[in-house]
Amino acid sequence: MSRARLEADLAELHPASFGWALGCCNGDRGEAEDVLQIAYVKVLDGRARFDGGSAFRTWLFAVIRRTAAERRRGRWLRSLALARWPTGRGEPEPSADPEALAGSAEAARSLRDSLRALPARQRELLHLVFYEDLSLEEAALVAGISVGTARTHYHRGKARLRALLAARGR
Amino acid sequence: MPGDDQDDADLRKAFAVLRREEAKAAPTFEAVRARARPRRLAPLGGLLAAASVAAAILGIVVRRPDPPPPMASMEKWIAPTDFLLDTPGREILQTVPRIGRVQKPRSVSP
Repeated sequence: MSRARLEADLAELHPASFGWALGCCNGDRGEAEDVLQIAYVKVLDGRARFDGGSAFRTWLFAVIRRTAAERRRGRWLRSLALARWPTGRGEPEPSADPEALAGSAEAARSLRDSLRALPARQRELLHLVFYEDLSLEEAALVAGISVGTARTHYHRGKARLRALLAARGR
Repeated sequence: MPGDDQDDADLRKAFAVLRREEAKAAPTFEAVRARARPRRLAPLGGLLAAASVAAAILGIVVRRPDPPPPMASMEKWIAPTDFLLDTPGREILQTVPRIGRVQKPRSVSP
């Protein structure tokens, strides 16, 4: 796959990739942009190579997920070594902004908060299926788990999310 | 339909709202690409990592056992008990005796 073609594919998938990166980073916008940037460099430099074994989008999402996990591990290690040292990164940007007063922004925030209350695996699968419109099989591929395991987490996640949204009056 | 169930319209609608809201604030592809490469390790973290690698290498060098002595050639090797074979008169057996030329006594004519 040529570099120009890769760039075009990445640009086309960028909005979905950003949403997925946000999901992987627990809504931390700055971290999501970092993760996305590193993932793009990996893809364009050939450190992550698409072998055509799956859809490009599925593969790219797996790269983004792995990159986010690497960053989390790095942060965890830094937090062990440098518990009191400033890292130069601020807290995640607060989701509240003037638009949050609008109904849809409020609904989005409510869903985001409810998703945060879910176990990571359930949150990940619901995001891939409902937000990114992947099939359960594709979502399992991105998450690196079997379809059976994905189905279990998916159903439990849906039930839990509905309960959380209902408790919030949504 | 990505999921298994046909009655997930409520969740689908909720996620669509979230997607729309997040898309509004999404940076452009070019902006993300042009973003400065994020720092992977804090400076002190890098120093700690380098120090631990150096300590590991030093440990390997210090603890490395002495190299084995060079193996003697079988032709030059002498068994530690070889001296027991040094019997008196051994040098006689190791030399070829020289037999002198025998001269016939000259016959005397009558």
